[in-house]
Amino acid sequence: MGADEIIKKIDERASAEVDKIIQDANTRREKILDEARREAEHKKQVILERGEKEAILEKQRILADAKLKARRLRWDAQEDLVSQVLDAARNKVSKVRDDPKYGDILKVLIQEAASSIGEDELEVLLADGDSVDLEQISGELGIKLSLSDKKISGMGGVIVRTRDGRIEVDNTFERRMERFTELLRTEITATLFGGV
Amino acid sequence: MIDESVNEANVEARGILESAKEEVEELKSAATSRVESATESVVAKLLGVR
Repeated sequence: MGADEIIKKIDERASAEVDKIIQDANTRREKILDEARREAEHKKQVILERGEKEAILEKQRILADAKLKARRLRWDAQEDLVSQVLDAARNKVSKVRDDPKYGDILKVLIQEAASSIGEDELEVLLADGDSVDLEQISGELGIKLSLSDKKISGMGGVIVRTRDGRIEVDNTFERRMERFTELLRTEITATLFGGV
Repeated sequence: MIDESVNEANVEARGILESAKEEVEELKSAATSRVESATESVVAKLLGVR
């Protein structure tokens, strides 16, 4: 084998090795790039899914908030009307002492209180300037009613109590309003909104 | 994506509120005619005359 041939063989072997090195490098490069692409795709999916979930939650929050505000609007409107009725009623009751039927109203309130207490001797407290025929009511109820020196203040009505003050029914209009408020609200709501 | 979803939700939310406002107006309109009778009923109860 001549020197030229030896050099040629060395060249060929060197070329083959270089080709192999380049081929191996390319294979590794492709592998690395594939892994990088897969990882990037996975990260992209994770981000998209997270964004989608956040979007759904945010949408639900906005809609829930709107529904709550809508309920609040309806509730406020109902409350306004119920309060309007209660205020108008309070205003009318505050003027009832000028009504010619006020004596009859006091009589009913006394009868109601006396029946509720169920004692034979009771005293009646009226507002300054109010009067009622206690003898007549006593006769009708078959009990003894006497007028107390003590006067009530406020819009009117009566307080009926046992002489020792052990049992008392406060039928002043203010107290009746307090006592009946919840019931009245229910009734007003039913009248105004058909029981909504 | 979030912006798009939020925009859709805001549009829907405005619809809900507008609808509630209309409903409230109808509610008020229907109830106003019954205020007087409801008041009379309350007064009667407070005065013990029913």
